[in-house]
Amino acid sequence: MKCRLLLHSPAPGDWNMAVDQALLELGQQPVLRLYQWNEPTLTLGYFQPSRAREQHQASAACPLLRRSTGGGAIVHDQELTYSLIVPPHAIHHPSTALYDVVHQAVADRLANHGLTARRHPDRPTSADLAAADADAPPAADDAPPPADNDAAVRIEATSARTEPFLCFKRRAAGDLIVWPTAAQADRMATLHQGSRQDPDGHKVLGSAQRKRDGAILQHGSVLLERSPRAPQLAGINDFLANNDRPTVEQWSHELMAAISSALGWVPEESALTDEELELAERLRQTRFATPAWNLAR
Amino acid sequence: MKPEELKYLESHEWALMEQQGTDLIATIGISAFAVEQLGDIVHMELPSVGGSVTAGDEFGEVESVKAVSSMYSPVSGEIVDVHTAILDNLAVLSDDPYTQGWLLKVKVSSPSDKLLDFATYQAQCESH
Repeated sequence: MKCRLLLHSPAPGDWNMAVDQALLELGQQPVLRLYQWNEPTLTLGYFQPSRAREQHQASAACPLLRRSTGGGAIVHDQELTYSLIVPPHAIHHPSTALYDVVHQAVADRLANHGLTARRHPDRPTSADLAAADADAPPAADDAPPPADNDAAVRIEATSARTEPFLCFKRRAAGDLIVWPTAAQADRMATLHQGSRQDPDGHKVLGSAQRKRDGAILQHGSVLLERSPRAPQLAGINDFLANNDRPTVEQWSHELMAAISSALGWVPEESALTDEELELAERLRQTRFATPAWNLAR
Repeated sequence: MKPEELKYLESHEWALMEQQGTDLIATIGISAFAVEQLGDIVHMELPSVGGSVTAGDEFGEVESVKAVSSMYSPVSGEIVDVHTAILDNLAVLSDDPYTQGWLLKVKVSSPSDKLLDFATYQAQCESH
């Protein structure tokens, strides 16, 4: 099946969200879009209360936007965002299979870079990690979990469930977790003084969906490097040696190839149509740039 | 309520139509199939009493497994009751989607012309 491939330059957050929504509302054909943000931006999951951001001081200066997709807050900085628009005729059943297919494709790609990643709650064995870093087999890590500023941040969910504010501090089935070898963890600690290996692994990819009239918009965020606006989170490049850190452009092309191949889609580079541009601008002005939407909860 | 006695939308909402005096009242919810497909429901948003709904249009939203979905109304009319207590115990939807899991009661002005009977709806679910 053919899919439209959209590789977009960094843009303002309200435009990024409006384009995805326009593609969902108009989409007749599968779309894979990869993009970044022109300034560090905090997005909330659709149902998250905006006041919860007050608890995350590191991102306090970032503009705030509400996504139409679910899940937790994301700091879009030093990361790569993807969106998939899947029309009804191309839907996987159940729709959560779309998370698994995409996340496993990215896990396989990370393996090519020597990184061991598993979809939560799967964990690698010691032998898996030893194979990934034969020169520096991992030692058992009995250290307590690192300090987590988000651990105290709780949201009153409708279901009375409490979860961390940031998406990347949550763990949902299928989330992609990197399990660094001792050598890779040392690399990260050297790069970012004071950082320690998380005994629960490092979530580097999370996704969420919006369903509309049988179609699905799936958003996902891949952490590339630690951001000063979310210093408690490591990115995939943080575990790699200096000379093996792909650029944003290289990751973008690798992920494009991995995701489209896993979905059985044949990507064709595309551009937004006049109709999509017009609807996106209207959605930007009437929804994603407005306090009525962004501060609705 | 027996699922066989309800009407359904393709989008998995159900409605029980009951004559109460001069009013036709629709009790609305989402089907067991929908609840199963959604998985663990963590958020739901419902409209208020006194508002109105339009057949085929969204009346609320639900989040499960990080996916936000709309719920669509099987009828047009005025909302006369909302099951707000369910928002504090969404597990009821899994346990009993057709009785304890009702969401709205609407004084019907007109039903959707796309309502399915149970057998047709079941056939649609089985084709997934």
